[in-house]
Amino acid sequence: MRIATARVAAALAVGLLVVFLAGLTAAERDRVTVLEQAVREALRPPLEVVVRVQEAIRGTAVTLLSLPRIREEQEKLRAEAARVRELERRLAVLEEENRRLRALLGFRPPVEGRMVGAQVVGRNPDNWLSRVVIDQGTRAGIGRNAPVMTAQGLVGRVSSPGLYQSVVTLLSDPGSAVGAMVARTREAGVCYGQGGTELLRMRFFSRDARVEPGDQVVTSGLGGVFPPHLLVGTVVETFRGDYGLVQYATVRPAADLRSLGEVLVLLPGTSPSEPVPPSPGGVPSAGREGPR
Amino acid sequence: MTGRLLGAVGLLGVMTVLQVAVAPRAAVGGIKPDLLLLTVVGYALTRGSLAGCLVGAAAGAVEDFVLGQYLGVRALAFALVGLLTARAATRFFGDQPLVPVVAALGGTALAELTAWALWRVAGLPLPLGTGVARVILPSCLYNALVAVLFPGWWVRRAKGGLGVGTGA
Repeated sequence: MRIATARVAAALAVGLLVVFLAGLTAAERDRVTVLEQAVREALRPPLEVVVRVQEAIRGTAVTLLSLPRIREEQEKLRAEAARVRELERRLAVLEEENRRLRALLGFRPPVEGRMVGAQVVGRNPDNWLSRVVIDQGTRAGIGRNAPVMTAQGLVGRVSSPGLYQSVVTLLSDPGSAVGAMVARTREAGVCYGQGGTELLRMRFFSRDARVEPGDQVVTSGLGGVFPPHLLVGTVVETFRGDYGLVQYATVRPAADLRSLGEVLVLLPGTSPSEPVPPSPGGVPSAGREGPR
Repeated sequence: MTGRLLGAVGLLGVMTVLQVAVAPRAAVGGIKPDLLLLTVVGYALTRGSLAGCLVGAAAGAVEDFVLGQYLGVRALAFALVGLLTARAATRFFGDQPLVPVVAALGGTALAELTAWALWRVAGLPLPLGTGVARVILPSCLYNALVAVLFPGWWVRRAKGGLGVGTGA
């Protein structure tokens, strides 16, 4: 009896300790502990080797399978090259004209600042969360909440920076929240990840937000984490919830979050160049970006 | 003893690398097999509940460290799987070749539900209904499918490890 009671007490103590520890580490930290860093550093070399081997195998397989087509394409490419050279000449002229016109208008690109390229070397081990491990960390100037994107659009933000590797929380992670707006109507809201699916759920501040399937969604810049005008995704459907009082939309991310290879990390100091005017429904109060 | 410990550490290291870097490429509908969990189940079936519990705690802790958040959640979930898998197999085990499959199925359900509950307590908004449909059930099926590939000699060793005869 005493042994059974002791076991139950021990199990309860362990359970409470885990709940306490999980709660303590629920908030994101700017730095991880020495033990966590040691585990990550121990895994870094084999991870990088495995990724390189995978890339080499994939490259070889693609090349071998493409051999029959390569010769035919070679001829086509020769003709194309001649055409491209002519286009390049014309492009140079247009670029110079563009530069002059931009200078006249005082135009600045939507994002100013430095970016670091990184490769995705792994993903979260479980099936609930949506996170990836990249091969750049604080040594490259990356800090917590640094936005991460690809050529297709926004991917997420750095949630746990290490020395040489960092964990990126993707848009589809259940703990992710991004201040966003519909590019066409500038209706603002927050995009949340749902867990278990790549689709996002956008909750609008206005009950009668003007939004339609097919609308593009971009970052609003209101939360202070993501610069504005970064492409988030496309509206798939709209619906009402909470007894019809709240307007929602399902958003498909522009970037393919399940097949990430190389990403760009925006470093601190990257700032929006244009102020975001308030949406017709009124300026939303601090829609907090980052972790929910 | 030292050899077994080093062997366990080495195996966990290899499985962690495979889980983080290779398993995502085997994902079907966004669900990937949990090689670390299957390793814990294997340890529990062949070496008993204490070894399974310790290996489970270590494997889960490594997963928590990789994420850098909610430390202890996967450690406790995997420790429970390691502890209970062997005991359930001992109690309900028959001369069945599908023990690893059933253990993988039940262990996955237990691990995912435990992790879900702890994450919810820690503040992560994870709905149960859609979670069961989108994550837990598919994960159970996928891990059970992978467990089917366990070789016969391993199953016989699992039976020997539990002190059950191999039967006719």
